[in-house]
Amino acid sequence: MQTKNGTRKQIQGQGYVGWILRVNLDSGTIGKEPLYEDLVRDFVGGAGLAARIFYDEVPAKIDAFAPENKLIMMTGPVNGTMVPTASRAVLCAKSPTTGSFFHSSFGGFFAPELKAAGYDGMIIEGKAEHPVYLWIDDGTVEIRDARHLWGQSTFHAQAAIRKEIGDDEIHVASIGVAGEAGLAYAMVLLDMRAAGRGGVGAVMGSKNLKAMAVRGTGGVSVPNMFGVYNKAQRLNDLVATTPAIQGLSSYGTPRNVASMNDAGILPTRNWQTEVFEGMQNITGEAMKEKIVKGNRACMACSINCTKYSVVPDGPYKSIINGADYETIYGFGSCCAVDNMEALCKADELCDEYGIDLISASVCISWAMEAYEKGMLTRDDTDGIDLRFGNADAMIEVLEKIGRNEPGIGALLAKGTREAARIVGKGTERFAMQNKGIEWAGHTCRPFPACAVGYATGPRGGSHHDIRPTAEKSGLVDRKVLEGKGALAVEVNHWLIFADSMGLCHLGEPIWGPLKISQNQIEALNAITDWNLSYDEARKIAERQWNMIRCLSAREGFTRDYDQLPIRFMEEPIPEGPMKGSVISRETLERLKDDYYEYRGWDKKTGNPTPAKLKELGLEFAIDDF
Amino acid sequence: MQLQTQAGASPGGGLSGMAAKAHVRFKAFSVIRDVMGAEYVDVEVDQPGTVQDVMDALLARFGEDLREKLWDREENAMTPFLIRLNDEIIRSRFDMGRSIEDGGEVAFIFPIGGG
Repeated sequence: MQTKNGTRKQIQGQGYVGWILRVNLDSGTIGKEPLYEDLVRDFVGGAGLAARIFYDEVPAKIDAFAPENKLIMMTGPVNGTMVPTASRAVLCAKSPTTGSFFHSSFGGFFAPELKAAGYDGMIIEGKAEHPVYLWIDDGTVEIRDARHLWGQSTFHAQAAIRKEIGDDEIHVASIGVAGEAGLAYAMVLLDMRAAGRGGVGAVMGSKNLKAMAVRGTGGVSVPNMFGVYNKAQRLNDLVATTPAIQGLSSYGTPRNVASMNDAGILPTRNWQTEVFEGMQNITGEAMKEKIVKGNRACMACSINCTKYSVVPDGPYKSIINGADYETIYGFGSCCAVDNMEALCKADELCDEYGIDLISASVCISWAMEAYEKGMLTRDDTDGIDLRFGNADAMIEVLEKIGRNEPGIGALLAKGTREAARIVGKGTERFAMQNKGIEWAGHTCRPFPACAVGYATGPRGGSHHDIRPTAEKSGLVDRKVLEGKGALAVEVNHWLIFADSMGLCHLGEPIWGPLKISQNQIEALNAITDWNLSYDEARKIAERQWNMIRCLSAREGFTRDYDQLPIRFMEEPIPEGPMKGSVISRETLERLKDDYYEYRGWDKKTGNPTPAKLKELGLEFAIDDF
Repeated sequence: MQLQTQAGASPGGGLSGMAAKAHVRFKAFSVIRDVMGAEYVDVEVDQPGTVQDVMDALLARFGEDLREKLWDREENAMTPFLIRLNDEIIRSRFDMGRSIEDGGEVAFIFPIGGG
C-alpha cells in the first residue's frame, strides 16, 4: 500500500504496539511488519483497518475456501487499556455465506493478550499441508502440528493445547469439528467467547488451522496514563449509573426478555409471532433463579454481563458462559422451547461443535415451521418429530448439524437460505435470513431505521451493523419514516467506530446510541493523544463503512442484495402491542433510497459514487466496480 | 390517613369535594422489579390521571432507589424507554401526559439491543 506522502512512520505507544504478525501457512514463514501511523489515522484499527488491508491483499471473486482468502485478526487501540468494555476485536475473512468481507467480533481476553505479546493484529494466509496450530509466545511464534487435535471439540482442543504448552493461563482460539467440515456458520471459540458469525471458523478450517494460542507478558503504552485513568474512571462511573446498562450486571443480556415479550417484540415460532406464552420460564430472572452461579467479565469491563451457569445433572447437564439473550431467543422463543436447562445444553453444544448459535437455532426453527406445515416430513427429519416446543428434538437435530450428519443435519448445516432453496415448496418465504446470515433476535417490523440498517448492513442479519435502540427506547418516533435513512447511517457510524477502537456495543448508552458519542471520541483521544473532533471522527467512520461497502461492490453486489426476510415484508406482527407492524417492499425501497441518498451513494446501484470515494480518500477503489 | 375512594364507586365523580381515584396496575421487570420487590404494583392516582401521575406515585413510594433506575445523570433527564399503556406503546420522554383510566396497566420497556 502506498502512503500519501511517500514516508511512513510506524506508530508505537498511543495504544498501539506497532506490529502486525504475518503467518504464511503455505510456506511456514512467519514475520512481522510495522503498523504505520497514516494507516491508523485513516482507519483506526479493528474492523476498519482490517477492511483496508483486506482490500489490498485479497482479490475479489475468489472462493472463500481458497488459500487466497486471508484470515485477519485485528485489535483496536483501546484493547489492553482500562477503558470500560475495551475487550472487543475482530476476526475477518471473506465469508462463505455472505460472499464478501465479514468482520466477526469477539470479546474476552484474546485481543488484549495478543497486544501484550507485541502485535496489534495478525494476517494468516495460505493453507497448511496438514492440521496445525499457531503458538504465539511473546516474540516467539511457532506453527505446530495439530493432527492429533483434528476431530476434537473446541473444548478438548483448547485443553489439550494448554496442557501441551504447560500453561493454564494462555488464551486459545479454536475451531471445532464444524469448522473442520466447512459448515456455513462455523465459528471460532476464543476461550469461552465466540467470533460467532459469518463462517469465519469454516475459513479457518479450510486453512487447516485448528487453533491459535497466545501468551503475552508485555503491555500497551499510552502517552498520558493519568489522563487515561481519569477518563476511564469517569466512563466506569457512567457504566455504573446509566439506567439502560443496569440490569446487565444482575441478569446479563436476557434482562429484558420479559419486557420484550410484554411489548410484543419477542420473536416466537420462527417469527410467526412476537409473543411467547412460555416466556416466564426463560427470562433473565428465571435464569438467575435456576442456573446462574456467578458473573464473568471480559477484560477491563465493569458491566459483568456474562453469567456462569450450571445444569448439574439430567439430560441437559451442561456448563456455559451464558445464556445470552440470543440463546434464549433462538433456541427458546423462536423454537418455542421454554425449558431453560435445554437452552443451556443447546448453548454448550454450539460452543463444543463450534457453530454459531444464532444461525443454528434459526435454522432449526425454520425446519420446525416447515415440519409443522408438512413441507418437511419425518422422512426428511431422520424420523424426528421436529415440532415447535420439542426440546429433545431440537437438541438431537442440533447435534446432527454439529456433526454435519447426512440428512436433516447436513441440510440445516447449509443455512436457511440454501436449505430453503433445496427444499423449495415455499419455505424460502420463512427463511429468516439476509445475505445468508440468520436473523438475530431483534425485530425490525415496528422499527424502520432498524429495518433499513439490517437490509443494507454488510453482515446481513446482524444486530451489530444497526441497533434498534434509538427506536426501541423512544428516543426517535418509530412510526415516522422520514429521516430513518440518516439515523441508520449515523448508527452504522458509531458501531463501526466502536468496532475499530475495540469497544463493546453493549456499552451502547455511553458509546452511542444515535451517533458517535463524545465519550467514544474522548476515550480514543485519551489513548492516542490525538485531538479528533466529532467531524473528523465521523469522517473516519464514514471511510470505514464505505471501505467495507467497496469490498461488497467489487464482488458484484448491488442494491438488490440489500433485502429483508420475506416474512418481514409480507406478514404483519399478528398480535400484541405491535400488532400490524410490517415493513412492506415499497417501504423498504423508500427507506433504501433515503439511506443511499444520505450516504451519497448511487441510488440505482446502492454503491459509493466516485465523488464519495474521492472525498474519503478511497479513490483507488473507483475502477473496481 | 388520606381518604381514598375507588373510581366508579360513586356515580358522578366520587364523594362530594374529593377527586375520584383511578386504580392502576404497574408491571415491573428486571431492575425495576428488584426495587419494587414484586412483578405487579398497584397505585392510585387522581382522576383524570396521566402516566406521569403513575410515575410520580411510584417515585413517592420507592424513592431514590427507583429514581436512579429511571434517571440519566449524564443528561439530567429521564432515561428514554418505551411504555406500554394498556395495549399501546408510547414513549417516556414524550408521552407522559397521556391519560390513564381506572383499571389501566402500565409497564416500562427498557431497550435491549444485544447479546
